[in-house]
Amino acid sequence: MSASPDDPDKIMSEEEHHAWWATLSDEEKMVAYVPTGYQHLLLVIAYIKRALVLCEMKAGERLHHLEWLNKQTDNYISPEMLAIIEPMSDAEIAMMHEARSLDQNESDSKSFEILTNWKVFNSFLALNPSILAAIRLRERRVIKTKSLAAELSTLVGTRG
Amino acid sequence: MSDPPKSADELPDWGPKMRALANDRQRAFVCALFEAPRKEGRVIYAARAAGYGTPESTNKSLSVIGSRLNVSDSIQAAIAEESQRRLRGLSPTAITALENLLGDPTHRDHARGIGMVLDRADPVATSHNITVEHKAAPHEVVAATKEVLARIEELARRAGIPQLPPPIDAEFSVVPQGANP
Repeated sequence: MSASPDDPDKIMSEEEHHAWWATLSDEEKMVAYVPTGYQHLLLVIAYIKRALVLCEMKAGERLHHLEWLNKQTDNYISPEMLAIIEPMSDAEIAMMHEARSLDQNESDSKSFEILTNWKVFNSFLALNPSILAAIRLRERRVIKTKSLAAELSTLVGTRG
Repeated sequence: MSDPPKSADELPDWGPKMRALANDRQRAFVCALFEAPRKEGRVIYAARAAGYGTPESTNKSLSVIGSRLNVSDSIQAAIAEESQRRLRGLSPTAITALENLLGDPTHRDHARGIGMVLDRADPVATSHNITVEHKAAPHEVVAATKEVLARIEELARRAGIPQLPPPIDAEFSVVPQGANP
């Protein structure tokens, strides 16, 4: 069971989920496979980049944000993915602020739920195709890794 | 014991709390508390000396009268005021005693006596160490040094940000790679 893409408060039954999944293109499925935590992180990376590019700040503050960005790379987000994401546009910033305004405090997760909602996240992807490009990079890396693993397995099997 | 004062106006050196007492008997009661010969029975002595009760009154009845007086707010305030006044009046006696103490190096409190005199003649300067702690976030204390600016440039390149506005606390320019400095 999962939240409905149209209404986050509605929980889809298994049948409804299968029916919805069948309507998705391969690229949409690729996006749907991105864990919500990483969906949110991709948006925050674009948001921070926007702040770095446009906002006046002291060197220490700038360094702080850049070091934070640098630390976000892991097994999922590669340095290439980090580098390819473009700063948010005005429209994205407005959406982000609208979502953030729902949070009463730092521990509130309302904005997280809104931003990672299927429709909202896809709206961000439409406005900022670099995020989708980053997800594609990830997919290519997965495919490449799987292919290498298969080759290695074949090689080991042949020698054995 | 001295005779109880007849009227507050006759003794203008009364403090405001003593003047505020209802009558001379109450003022006499307060004064007599200080002049009682011993700790025990002080209230009975003061009540009797101030003229409360009759010559035939028992200690028990005087004790009740005195205790009632002793706990009244106006009497309590007057006692506190009179205590302060009498304490100040003790100074000459205390100084004499202190002089005797200072003049006797063998007295066990000789050193303490010297300390008391010095404290009052040249009060000890008290120092207060007040630690004002401001926990600044690390990025608030980073100066825009050459190394910091170089690190910013490197991280910006890694993050795919080709050009950044200059930081507001430093002159900053991005030198293209390969350009002569």
